[in-house]
Amino acid sequence: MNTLLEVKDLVVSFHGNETENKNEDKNESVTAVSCLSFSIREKETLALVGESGCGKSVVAHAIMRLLPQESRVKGVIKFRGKNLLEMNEKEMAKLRGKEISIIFQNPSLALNPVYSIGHQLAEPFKIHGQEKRRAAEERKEEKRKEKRKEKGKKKEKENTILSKIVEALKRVGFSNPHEYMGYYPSWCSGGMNQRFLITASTILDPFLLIADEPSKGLDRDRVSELENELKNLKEMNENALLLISHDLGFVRRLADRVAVMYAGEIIEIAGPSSLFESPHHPYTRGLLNSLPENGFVPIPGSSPPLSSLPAGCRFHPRCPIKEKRCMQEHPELKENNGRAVRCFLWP
Amino acid sequence: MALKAENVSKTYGSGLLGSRKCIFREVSFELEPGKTFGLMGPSGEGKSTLGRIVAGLESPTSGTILLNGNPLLGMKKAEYTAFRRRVQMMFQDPTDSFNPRKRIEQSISEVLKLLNSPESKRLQSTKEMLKTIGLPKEVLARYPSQLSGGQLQRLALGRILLLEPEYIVLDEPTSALDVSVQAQILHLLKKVQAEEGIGYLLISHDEAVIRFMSERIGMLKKGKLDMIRT
Repeated sequence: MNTLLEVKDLVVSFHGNETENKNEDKNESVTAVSCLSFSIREKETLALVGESGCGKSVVAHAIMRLLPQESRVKGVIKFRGKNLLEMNEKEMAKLRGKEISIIFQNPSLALNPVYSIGHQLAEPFKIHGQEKRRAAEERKEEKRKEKRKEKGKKKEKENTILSKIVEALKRVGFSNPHEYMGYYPSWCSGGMNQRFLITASTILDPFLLIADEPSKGLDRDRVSELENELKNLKEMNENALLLISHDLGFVRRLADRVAVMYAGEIIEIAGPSSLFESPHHPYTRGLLNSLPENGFVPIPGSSPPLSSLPAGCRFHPRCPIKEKRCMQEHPELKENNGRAVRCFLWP
Repeated sequence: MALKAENVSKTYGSGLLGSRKCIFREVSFELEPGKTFGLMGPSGEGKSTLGRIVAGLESPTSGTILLNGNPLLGMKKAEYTAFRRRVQMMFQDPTDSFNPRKRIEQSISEVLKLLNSPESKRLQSTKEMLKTIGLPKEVLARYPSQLSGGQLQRLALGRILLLEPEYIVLDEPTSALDVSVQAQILHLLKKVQAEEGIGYLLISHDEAVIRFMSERIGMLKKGKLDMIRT
């Protein structure tokens, strides 16, 4: 399978707010993601796991180019051969929703409260339809013909959009989709809104779908429903999935490969069965030990703040098997037999 | 010595045109000092409502909450204030438990002021509390947005401990946290319970968390409480 997305040496830093905390954090620059490299093949599901604040969502927003202005992004994000970081906003707008799409963390916040569900599900068609029209406007001679055609076909087009929305809603388990078109997000449960959001993100059948903590805040029944929906969508649409989550059980059941992040960098990449059965990095082992089935054994200490990372290996202050070298040198991510680990003590 | 819920029912709605909805009916259980009662069940079954009723933050439609034999309903203002101090509540999302515009130190000292603790003793009490919850004193100068979810949940527990409660209602205390942080908080709760002898009502939809923490377990489903570990 061909590589669909290649992220190489990605560095994302944020420059602190000078007006806040004048004395202590003046001009503070935080590197949220450091020299991060990974790739996703066509139809593959790659999961990015790690604790809150380790930089997972920053990676998703960097790919979508949705980071705030105070961020600085370096490196290469190649999607279908084109570097997204070199694209201008117009080019990115054409890509977002159509070729790369994202399911945001909180469905109730990601949906617009003042528009109906039907309106929000039709929006991707409208936006990307406009792209086509804009391109047509540039060809002045064809402009009038295009408009006449659009008028004639307007009704037919609306019907096509409606039938596509209905079909998409049926796919995510709504047996009577017409009923929900006039609903507003506040009328619906978290689980329903989650499914509307998935529908909106996948309705244009993107090559790459990014799901940013889609299971966060959902109870166990909703999580297994979501799992089935993502599996079905993948089977039907055959798109690649970048799954960002801290829910390890969810990841294990869905991913083809898993990348574990700690303090802004990837520390281990492996297939789910080898990662969960024989984790190599001490942090991955600690993370798995804190699962209920392993008796909730916690990792001592806490993740370092990204503004003051320790020298050497970033995990060394919490590592039970650290050596002198771990405190002085920063380990590289070493690859061996389709598995990569950032630890001096491996292999 | 116990905190009891006796035949507690909760109904919502005005009763006009048949719009009353019964959430749960005649639920009874008992919290003992130094032990945990785990309350589990699906979302929307009224677990949090029951927790709020036990903590005295909401009134039941019928039934009684008794602290060491004294019914909550008939308490005078001073008794009710003492009840609220002795029965505390810890919420799911630690970011909602702190004022975002105040430094942690200010949020903590508010509690100590309410306790009429002399200014000279406040710092010492805060230091001891930080030692118990395992955080450095640097966190005091931070705003909630500058701390992680795990650190904030520890501080939420620490602030409650300053009040020296007898019982704590823990409403999904780890469901907003990562697995590794969840394990840390659960161990901290166990340690505090062993040291202080506090009784917990632990509310969670996560069966593994409930089974790990609780001596007795009840399942709230379809308006009824079924005891599944006694």
